[in-house]
Amino acid sequence: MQPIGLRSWLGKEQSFSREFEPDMIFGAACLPRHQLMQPTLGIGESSDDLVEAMRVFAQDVSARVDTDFRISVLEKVVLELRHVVNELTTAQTIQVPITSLAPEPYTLKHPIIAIVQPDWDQFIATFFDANITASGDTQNEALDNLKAVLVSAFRRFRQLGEDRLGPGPRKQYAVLKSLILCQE
Amino acid sequence: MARIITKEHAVKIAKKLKAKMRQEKAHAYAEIFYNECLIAWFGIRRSSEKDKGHDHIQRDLHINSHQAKLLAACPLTREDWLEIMSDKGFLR
Repeated sequence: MQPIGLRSWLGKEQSFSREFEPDMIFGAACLPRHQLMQPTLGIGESSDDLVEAMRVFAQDVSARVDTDFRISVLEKVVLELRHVVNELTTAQTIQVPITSLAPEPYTLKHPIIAIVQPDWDQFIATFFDANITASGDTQNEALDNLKAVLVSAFRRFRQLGEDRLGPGPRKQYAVLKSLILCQE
Repeated sequence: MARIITKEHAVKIAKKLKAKMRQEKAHAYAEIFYNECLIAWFGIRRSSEKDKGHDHIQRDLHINSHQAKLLAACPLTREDWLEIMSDKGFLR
């Protein structure tokens, strides 16, 4: 450990603001603890010098705590941003026009738009107009399943007849009837 | 969106709501009737994996994720769900 007088230590501190980085004075980041310069009361130094040294030390500690806090906040923000970027790049929602229900014997009067969204490790395809959804392991599978569900629902609604449909399915049937032509 | 409803949950919900099951090629369909009217239905994917995601069921049943979870776990009964459907105008 290298003893150093308070005045000379303070002298180093004063020059620190002009030409040194804080770690060059206190060495916390780059020196082992036993190598830090330890200020001691030298000949002719008073308790005022000690008070001044303590003030400077307190200021430095305060600055360090402030910097550490800001760094930890920034680290958190960077992590959150990284997560958001990851979500945006991998979890993209796409709109897919469905133009055909082949090989089922039904045709569409006009293309309909399905929304395919990633969901955990699978995809959900939704035809929002009729509130009909289907899932699949891939985007294609979800879309194929949605087509199958659309046809199955249409067939089932026709089989049951409107009288046996509650408000929800009746609305779905109305939407499907306006879109699907049966070739059977 | 995190996975909330799995295939296992979907099967439990179908039983809880006394759904009639209809089998087709890729899907089984759970149909819920009230006064002999079909009021809601949802597809259950054919797969041996119990944790296969079925997060579309909330939309099909007109409830939120929390209610769907409660439906699968037990606290929400068929009667409670029918009340929700009635409040939203899905019963006649």
